[in-house]
Amino acid sequence: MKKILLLLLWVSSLWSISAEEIIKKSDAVRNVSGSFYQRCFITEYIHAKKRDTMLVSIYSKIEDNSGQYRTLVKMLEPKKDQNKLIMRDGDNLWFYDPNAKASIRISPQQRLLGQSSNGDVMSSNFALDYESTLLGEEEMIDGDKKSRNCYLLQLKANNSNVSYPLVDYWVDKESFYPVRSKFYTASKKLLKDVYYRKFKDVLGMIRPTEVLIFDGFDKSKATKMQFANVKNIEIPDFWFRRDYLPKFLGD
Amino acid sequence: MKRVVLLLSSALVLYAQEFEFFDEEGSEAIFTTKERTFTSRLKMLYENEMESNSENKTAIFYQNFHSENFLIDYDVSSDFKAIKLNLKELYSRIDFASDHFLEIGRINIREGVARGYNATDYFKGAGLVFDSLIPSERRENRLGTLLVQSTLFLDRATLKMLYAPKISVKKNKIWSDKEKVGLLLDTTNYKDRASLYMDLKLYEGLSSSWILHHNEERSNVGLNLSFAVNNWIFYNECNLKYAQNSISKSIEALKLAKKVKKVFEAEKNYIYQGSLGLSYTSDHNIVSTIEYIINSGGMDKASWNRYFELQDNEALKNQLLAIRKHHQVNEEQISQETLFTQININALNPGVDMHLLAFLNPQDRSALAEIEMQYSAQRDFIISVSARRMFGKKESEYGSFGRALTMVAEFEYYF
Repeated sequence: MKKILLLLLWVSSLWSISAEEIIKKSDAVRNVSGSFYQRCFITEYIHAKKRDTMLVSIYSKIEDNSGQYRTLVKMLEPKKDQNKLIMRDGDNLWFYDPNAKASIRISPQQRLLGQSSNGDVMSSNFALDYESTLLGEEEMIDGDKKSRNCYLLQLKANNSNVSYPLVDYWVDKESFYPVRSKFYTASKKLLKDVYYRKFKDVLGMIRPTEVLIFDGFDKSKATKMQFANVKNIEIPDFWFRRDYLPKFLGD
Repeated sequence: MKRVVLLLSSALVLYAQEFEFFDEEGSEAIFTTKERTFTSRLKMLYENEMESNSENKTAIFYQNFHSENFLIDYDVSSDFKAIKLNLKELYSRIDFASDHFLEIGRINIREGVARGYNATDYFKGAGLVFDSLIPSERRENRLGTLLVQSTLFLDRATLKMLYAPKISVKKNKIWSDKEKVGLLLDTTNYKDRASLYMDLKLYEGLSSSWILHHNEERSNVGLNLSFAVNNWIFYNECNLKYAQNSISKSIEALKLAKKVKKVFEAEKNYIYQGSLGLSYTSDHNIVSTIEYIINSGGMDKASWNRYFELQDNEALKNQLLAIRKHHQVNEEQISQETLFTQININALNPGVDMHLLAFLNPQDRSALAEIEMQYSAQRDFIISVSARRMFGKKESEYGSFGRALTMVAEFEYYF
């Protein structure tokens, strides 16, 4: 009898999915593969009232060796920030201001608009950046107010490249859609509470087209990031060089 | 002294292609933008300089234009006494290949990873539209240099070569005229200069830029390093040259009296200039930077003492003030050691940012400090108020400016 129970446990472990697999499948939902272009419209809310908006173009490309995304963000609106650029190549994050002609090294945690930081508009691969642990299963109300059966994972950063050292991450059990993330400091202080929603067909796969970010310190502050106009495009590698920033003329 | 300055520029759509975002049901456009529009800015500056008899400067009017391979950027500045047009940049880009460009024209070259002082920014100083003690303002208001520049992107590095020719001084010509529409090319192109840059990512997170710069008088070797770990950014920018110390260089450039020359040695030596800094972003989005600046060719404590001993002699005093001004204009540090610190508090309140900045001379404990509050009243309308003050004894680097307190109010509207 004991042998049969052990055999059943071993067979069931073969069928169960690992935390790494869940993250990989969820990454494939969140991110378009290859190199791509998209626009992101960011709206800042305070006490549910619209406070400010920003429009950016985002160019992302997977680096062949590391498998991590390199990203170039161009600010289009408001006018006061027009033509400013943020570029990330691995641990190198640069901000270029066309007025000052200066490229300044910045940190991904620095604020972009509202609760969104520079790191939030950069495409990221959780499977490469974090060590993940499957904590269990939970029912979770998603950003569209639907109840979903989710895997709950705990992610710990495995490099200094990431914006957030600790993450609680809920992934839909059936579809592997990202549902909710809670981003923490290393001392487990809540920085951001994030919901993924408005799942639509984007380049042949159902993906979230909207991200809602609530401030971890002040719940009255929220930011909505809407992604649109996603398309696969060819992006030269040198676009992710600091020296190219003053020469960038793309939209 | 009080003054009000006003700027106005116009808008032009070069190539309009509407792009729309839709609401949650996908029926109503929630945002529409036009691509490649011409950004314009209307700016009014009110400045009140107290406790000082120093001269006031004029504020900035800004306008720029982008097209595929061509850029023009100019300022019009006015203090209601005279209007001046400054052509900051005008250049064309030729693409030899997708990863090889040649640029020719008036270009504002700006190098360096440091925030307070850029030792490898070899084109700094000459030709400022608007003189200020604040580094970010000086960078924004610099005239470009007439040059030819080639950039080649290799697999793991970027190579950049440039040559800037000397333009002879001919008075009352359009390229040298300081009045109204002069190009001031004699100021920006006062020497034959050539540079070779190589940008190289040494390993993940460590970025480097190696520079060889040569002008008519000497060669310089420059290096920029920056490294990021979690919320911390470390940087080092340095320049090495075999030259006179910066004081005797200023004395020669200003053609000052022999008596002044005797006070400071003019022997050539190896001079090291550099900045070592670190920046930290907190969980509450406060960005703090501290930077140690060294200039081995600058004034040490003994030199500062000699400087102030000469203050009784009015003629010498004026000449030494000119030396300090010469350093300021050329964006060079006059002291051997300076500390720079900056704190940026983003979203102190919704729409309100606060910036604090200070330069400190640890040898004589004098300082320059600035506090600025910036409020985005509307989407493209910014109001900012700042106060700058010098601290220190009358016989100190910053204290000798006359303990000037300057209040500035700025209103900017982008459209």
